[in-house]
Amino acid sequence: MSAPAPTVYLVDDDISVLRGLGRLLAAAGMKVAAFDSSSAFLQGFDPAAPGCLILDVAMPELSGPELQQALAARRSEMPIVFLTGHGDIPTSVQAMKRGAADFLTKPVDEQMLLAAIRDALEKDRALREGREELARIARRLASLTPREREVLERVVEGRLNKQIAAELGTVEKTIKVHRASVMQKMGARTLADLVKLAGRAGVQR
Amino acid sequence: MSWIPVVWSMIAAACLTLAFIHLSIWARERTRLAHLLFVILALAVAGMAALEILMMRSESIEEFGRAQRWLHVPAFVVVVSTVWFVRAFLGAGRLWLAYTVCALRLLSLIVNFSGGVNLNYREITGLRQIESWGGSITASDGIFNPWTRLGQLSLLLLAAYVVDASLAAWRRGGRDTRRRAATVGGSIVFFVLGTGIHYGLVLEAVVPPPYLIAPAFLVMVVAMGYELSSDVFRADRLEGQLRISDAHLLESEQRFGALADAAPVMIWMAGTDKLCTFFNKGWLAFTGRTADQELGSGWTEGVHPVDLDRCLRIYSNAFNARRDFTMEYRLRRHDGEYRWVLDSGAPRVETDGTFLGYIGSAFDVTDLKRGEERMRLAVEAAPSAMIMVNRDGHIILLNAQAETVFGYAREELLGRSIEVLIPESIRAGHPGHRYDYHLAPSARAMGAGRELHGRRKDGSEVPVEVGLNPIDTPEGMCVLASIIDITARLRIEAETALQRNELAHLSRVAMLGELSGSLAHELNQPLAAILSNAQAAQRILGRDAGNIDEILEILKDIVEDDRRAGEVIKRLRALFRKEESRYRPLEVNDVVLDVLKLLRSDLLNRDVAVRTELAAGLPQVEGDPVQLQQVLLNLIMNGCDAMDGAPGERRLTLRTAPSPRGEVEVSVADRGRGIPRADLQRIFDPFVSTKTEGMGLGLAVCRTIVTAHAGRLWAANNADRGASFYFILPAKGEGPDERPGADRLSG
Repeated sequence: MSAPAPTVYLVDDDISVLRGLGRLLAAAGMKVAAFDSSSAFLQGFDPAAPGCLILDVAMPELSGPELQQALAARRSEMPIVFLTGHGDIPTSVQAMKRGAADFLTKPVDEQMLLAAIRDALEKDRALREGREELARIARRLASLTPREREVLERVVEGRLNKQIAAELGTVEKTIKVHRASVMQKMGARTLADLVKLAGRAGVQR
Repeated sequence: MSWIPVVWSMIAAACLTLAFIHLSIWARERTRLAHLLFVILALAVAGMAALEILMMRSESIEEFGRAQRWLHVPAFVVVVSTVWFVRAFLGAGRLWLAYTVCALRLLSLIVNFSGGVNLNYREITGLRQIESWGGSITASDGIFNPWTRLGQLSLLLLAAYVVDASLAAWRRGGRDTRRRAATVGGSIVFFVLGTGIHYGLVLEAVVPPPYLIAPAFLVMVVAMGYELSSDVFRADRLEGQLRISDAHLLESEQRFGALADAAPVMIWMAGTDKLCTFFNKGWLAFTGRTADQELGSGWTEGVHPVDLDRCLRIYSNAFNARRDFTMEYRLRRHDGEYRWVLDSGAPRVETDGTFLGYIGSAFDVTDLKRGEERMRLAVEAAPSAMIMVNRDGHIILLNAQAETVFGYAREELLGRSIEVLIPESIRAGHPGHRYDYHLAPSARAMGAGRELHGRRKDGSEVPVEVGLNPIDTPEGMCVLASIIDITARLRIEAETALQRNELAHLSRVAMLGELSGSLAHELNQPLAAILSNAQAAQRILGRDAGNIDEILEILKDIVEDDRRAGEVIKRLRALFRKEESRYRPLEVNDVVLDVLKLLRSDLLNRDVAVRTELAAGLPQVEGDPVQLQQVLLNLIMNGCDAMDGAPGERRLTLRTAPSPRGEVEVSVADRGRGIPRADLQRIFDPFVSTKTEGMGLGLAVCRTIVTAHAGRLWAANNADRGASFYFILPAKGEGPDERPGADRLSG
């Protein structure tokens, strides 16, 4: 998988913090994009590109948690690592509940920060992979004929060929052919694979 | 025949004429004693002329001797009348000398008639005719009587007496008197001595007769007569003037009498003998006695027996020394009641310095004295120390409290200068203050806000507060000072201030506790930047030591952030510190900006937007920056609290502006729910809080701080939404200076 290098987005209204963090991450070999306000970030970031967000909590206009909500509203799943000068428990709990990747307090040690960023990037990567797999499954599902779809739904429910044939008003042989076609189209080698894929895709009757 | 009898007769006639003229003058004005004496003198000279004629024409020794003997009678009269004439006319001459001259002359007269032929001859041995003045006259030879010297001595003394009197008159008098002294004295001396010597020389046959007594004395008489006559003319002229001035005098006397009678005071006059010569109607109406009863020493009968001795002593002493006097005594009124009167007398003196007696006035001061007594009692009962000081700065009244405060006994202070109670360091300036006070007396506090100290007997100083009251008394304006020992109060004030300072500090620390999260944030920001920068540098160096420019930039940023962190800590430390407050000139806008820096994170966290409207060119104020920051912190945080849970925009407006009176006004306006009208005042009271978690001290402390800065703090609801807190601080140098140090807050 040769995806482009992930970007670490920095958002902090404190320019000197922004600069220091930027330097550190750049020195650690990361691709960094720094913004001194939430609105600037919203305008400048690429939702499609991999990356994570290092976000200050207290900022004028749009604060960190507010940006988190705004991103959620845009269905962005970019992992967010909150950085705060003083972490109070309600704020951090709220942020974590809303899916923050981590919640760190300033001054933050590079090891901890880099680890958090790595995790976040990993999460991002995982998320993106998950999304891609789902899309793949969805594409395969879409390639099934309606009859094959009906057969798939019943196979996943654990019905026997015979039962399915009776249900669909056909013969067991026909069902076997459909079933093989479904297995092939879905790229499943075993029945367990097929059930897993169908489960991912949320296939049900 | 010789001319002598003719001339001598004419002399006698002339003398008689002069005598007649002056007799008529004297007859009209008997008081003119000089004229009478002159008449006698002139008559005597006429007699002498007659007797001389007799002597010069006598044909026997007996006849000559008898005539010469009788000649000494007019001579006696001439001498005696001359003596008294000089005294009467010149108003001078030593009395003892006058009597001596008269006595000697009388003795000569007695000797003249008691032995020998006469005073001049023991025995006349013969007569001879000598030619003189175109005819023969009789001359005598005989044995010289040494008693003649007695007569000559009397003449010598007469001359001495006249010289002395003339000199005295000369020295004393004006131009007229001097001329008079010169003419009369000179002629008398010249002719008395001249005739005396001539007479002696004729007697001793050194010079030939005739005796020239009569002609010489005639010249003297003419000279005296001339002076007397010019006196008469002058007297006439003076009389005219006198009549006019008499009329004036009468009028002014009448006017004085009317005035004295109309005056509401009692007036008396006394002559040079201390006896009273006048009492006005006011006096007589008061005592209810007649003038006759009061005149002389009659008035003393009305004086209270207890006061009489003292009274007479003062009167008599002042009289003898010709000094003004004032005395108080009780005088019986017409209804029998003894009333206190204040009696002042002053010597009456003519323009030429002649002492005429005394004039005085008295008035009833009983009510005044009762008032004084009442005042004395009031002063005594006053809870504070009271001291009354007269115009000269002498203590004339004090109460027991004053004794206690200053540690002196009453009699130690009475009559002493008030300055003994002033600390030595400022004593020298005090009389000047007293003088200024007398220029503009008013009831006011002394020292206008300065800390005042009094000096105790033991030399220690006592902090005092002094109120001054001008009081009009018969002795002039006095000042009644009420003095409060404020030692205890100062101690309580200091303790209170200390407690307030503790409280201010505690509430500040509590507030900072609330803010600690934001403050930590403020500190952590630069620390975060520093750490990141430092670690970035480590990485850069570890990878590629060549990029020195970037390292330098990082180090610059590190230094900058470190400084920033230091600033935050400094600001915090100032707020946490508890120490004496230090007032210094400062810009209110700086205080506002400092506070906003501290609160930045908190305001962000609480999602409160702050708008500042800071006026430029505001005057500086005098204040403690930490305490003023505390006030603003408190007001801003209250404003934030007020907007918690309130709908709408969360905005605070901080405004500084000059007040109409040149002060600096600071306001913090929120968009919260506002303050219930009933609470607008109450919220500044301690332990009153509208918040569920508040202690209720914040605003109370704020108001104490602002008040200690001579300012005001209040709250009001905004017209549209929310409430505003305002405080006003006096501009530096404009505020009241009397902000006592003890009132200042510190901590």
